[in-house]
Amino acid sequence: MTQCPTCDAGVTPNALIVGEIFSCPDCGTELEVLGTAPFSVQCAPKEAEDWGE
Amino acid sequence: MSNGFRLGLFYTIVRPEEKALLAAAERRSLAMVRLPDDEMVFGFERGTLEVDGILNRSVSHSRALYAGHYFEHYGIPAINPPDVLERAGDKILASLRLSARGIPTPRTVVALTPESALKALDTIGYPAVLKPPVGSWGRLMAKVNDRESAEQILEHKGALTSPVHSIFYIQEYVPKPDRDLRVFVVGDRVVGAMLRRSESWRTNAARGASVAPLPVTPELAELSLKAADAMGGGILAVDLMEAPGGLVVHEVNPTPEFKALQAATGVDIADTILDYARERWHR
Repeated sequence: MTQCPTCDAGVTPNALIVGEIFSCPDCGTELEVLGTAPFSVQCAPKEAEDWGE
Repeated sequence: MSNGFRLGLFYTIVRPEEKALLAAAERRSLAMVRLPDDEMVFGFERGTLEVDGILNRSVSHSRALYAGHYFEHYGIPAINPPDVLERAGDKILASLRLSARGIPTPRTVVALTPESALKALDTIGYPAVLKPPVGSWGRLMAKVNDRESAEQILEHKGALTSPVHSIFYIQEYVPKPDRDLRVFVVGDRVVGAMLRRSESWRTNAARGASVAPLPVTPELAELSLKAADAMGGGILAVDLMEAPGGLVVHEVNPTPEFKALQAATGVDIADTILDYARERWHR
């Protein structure tokens, strides 16, 4: 368990891997997994103009 | 490809696609080395990157392109190679290639200033579609309904600082059904296709379009393979529309997402990509 950097809600790893993006279940902020042991997150990188497929 | 072969995964963020590729590699005991694009530094010296091949999956066109040139410099084969990323990742270059190969596309013009863009829009006719030359997911695209909207949209574009917004890629608005077609090409074959349906004129899955499997007709396969080949081949997602005069290709995506396609078709795209890498690199 760790805290969402935006809303401070508790977030828990659920089959997540390092680098994976997921939404905070409380506020919806996109978070990126920094580590799994211990579990840590940061706000996901902001989408840039040249991002795409 | 598993006997000592080390496959690099160059990426920005781990989306379901990258997660699927990592899982597929693990299933076949293939060493997949993570290469996050925000941590890498590229020098001229060769031999510092200890991988035998790379899947270039960076979501940033610029990062993918420059890194791709370095991979080439290092003698490490990559899918897709930088020339393919360059052509397909830039709508202007892609349109030029499609046109040169005689592949039907929406009528398209390019203008280099807001003033000439206004003239170009008048020429194309309203409604028209204004797209940034680089970028996808339908971001910052505009449907321009009339001259008044054109003037306002161009003024807003002028306020954006990225140089990409000072070049204007203008397309006729194609009166299509509420859907477009996406065909996933791997090498010389089509591995899956889907319909993307939306009430919005933008039918990107990233914008919430619903998807459904699409049977691949010989015409659809032929056109998609030609479009992929025009970019140089590899792993490409070809987007098409059903225009009144027949199918037109409007985009070819060089670092395609496939979560929606995999869900719609049941095809294991990650496995297919690893099979293709194995075939290409003969291990």
